[in-house]
Amino acid sequence: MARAGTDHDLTADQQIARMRDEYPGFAMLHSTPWIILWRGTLSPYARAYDVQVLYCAISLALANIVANNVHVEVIEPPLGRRPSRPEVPIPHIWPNRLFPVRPRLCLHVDGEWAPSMYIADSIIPWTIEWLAAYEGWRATGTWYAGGHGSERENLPARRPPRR
Amino acid sequence: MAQPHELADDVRDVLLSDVAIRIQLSPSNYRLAVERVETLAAWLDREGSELAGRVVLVYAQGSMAINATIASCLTGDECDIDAIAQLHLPSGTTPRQGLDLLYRSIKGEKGSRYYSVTRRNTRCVTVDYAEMHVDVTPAELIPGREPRVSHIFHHRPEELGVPGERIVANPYGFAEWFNAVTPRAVAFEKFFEARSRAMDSVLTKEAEAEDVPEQIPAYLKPPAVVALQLIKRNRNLRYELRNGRRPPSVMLARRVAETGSGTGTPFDELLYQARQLAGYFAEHQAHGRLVHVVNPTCPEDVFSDRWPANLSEQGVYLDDLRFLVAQLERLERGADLETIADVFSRLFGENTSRMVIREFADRSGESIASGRLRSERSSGRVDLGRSGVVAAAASAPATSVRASPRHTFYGPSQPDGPSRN
Repeated sequence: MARAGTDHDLTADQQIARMRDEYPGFAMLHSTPWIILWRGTLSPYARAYDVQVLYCAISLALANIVANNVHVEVIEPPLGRRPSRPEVPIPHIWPNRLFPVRPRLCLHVDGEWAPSMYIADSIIPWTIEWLAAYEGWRATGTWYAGGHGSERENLPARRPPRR
Repeated sequence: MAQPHELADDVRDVLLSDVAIRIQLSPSNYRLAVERVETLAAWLDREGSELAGRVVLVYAQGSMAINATIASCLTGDECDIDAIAQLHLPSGTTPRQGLDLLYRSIKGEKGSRYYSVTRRNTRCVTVDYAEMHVDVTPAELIPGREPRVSHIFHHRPEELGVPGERIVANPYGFAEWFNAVTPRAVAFEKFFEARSRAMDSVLTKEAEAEDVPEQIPAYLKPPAVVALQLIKRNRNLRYELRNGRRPPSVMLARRVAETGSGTGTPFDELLYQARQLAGYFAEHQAHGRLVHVVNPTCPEDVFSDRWPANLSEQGVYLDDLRFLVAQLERLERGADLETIADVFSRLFGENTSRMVIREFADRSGESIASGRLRSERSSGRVDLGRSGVVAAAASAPATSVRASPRHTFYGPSQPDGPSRN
């Protein structure tokens, strides 16, 4: 966003406006030019998940927050390992030091997201995909949705042009 | 699920349809069943057969005639195919003689094709094939009655000195009635056909079966028929380890056809039908009465003549139906794939349900990994049709559906993974 990034970075107001248009059910709990916090509900299939989305243009080392990143946590229901294989960790998460029961979702690798991208157009759809993949993993024990290091990482993209 | 929705929208509808497709008579077995009934008809009338010249007609009845055949057991895909052999028997033929005559005629001489695979039962003769059982019920038309109203025969093979009984029946009339009164739902039938064809390419690949005909009537099913198949599957599962008779399919078929709601979606229809059935049995049970279900085209044809024998038997099935309703209501309130898999396993069998969920998760995962997943704005609901997870019957302009930029989930299976997302 304008305070912390390049000329191409979107401002907090732009991110907030876009989010309000695309996901009006998301409530903005806090906003400054550096930090925006939303909470809302996403239902990829037939279960609703309350998620928290935090954008931070500055680093907060004590909270393990890296500057110019978006941090997504699932508030309810709590994410969990599969009861039949409790020794296997949840794939594609990283720890949340403040709230260990709310690990943060690993939605992208370096360079795939930048503050010039709308959170509503990138982070939120990626969160929906993560939740869909998580449901499949909970039900089957297999993370079918690819990701870093998986055999599906390099599947060819077949996207239509953006609207 | 209270609001109307597109059929490919709701994961419960998609997965329930996939279970129904998995348990139903496959297209190749449907065609095989038709061929086998035709071959049996020709065999009965062959030169040298005791029934040569006495076979008026052989036709499918029961579930085959109403497109509701399912695998008869839970671990394989064996199906029971019912056929009527309309015979013109010598005057004075007793039920025992009629059944024995049909049995001998099908069995044939030692070394003939059906010799070692033919069984005589109380009301029919069964021919066992590797993938299906064909039950041939002998029948005689009753002069002066409506067409196809017949006598069928009842005689236990072990009761040698007993002539047996004649029972009035009209299975043909029932099938016609069923197909006429069952509410149709064009959108659902297109959806189910599309799912069947998509699934069939998987199933035929697995079975290395022959090519499937272009147009297969078995694919075109009203929601009530799919609900009936799932209710029968649930009944088979519940009765698998019980002794004694189970609620007859034809009784369930009549109730389902009569109460068909035309909801248009498999999940809503199944829940509606399960509630209706549970209510029907509960009302009788509460008043200490046994259900009495007859063929609507022939009141003497009593579908409940052998089940339930008493209130205890009736109560057992009522409990099953209440369990079915309770489990479906769990899903109605909202459920993730894990819960759906658990409920389906309890209701329709572990292997089929887990397979359906796994295939869905795989297709969905492939859609995500290749960047094809589409979700709705606002709710985040995955658009299964436009994501390629299911074959959508028709796609309207997608003004509220969105794609996302390319990305890669990071941190493979490591709880203490990298400090970036």
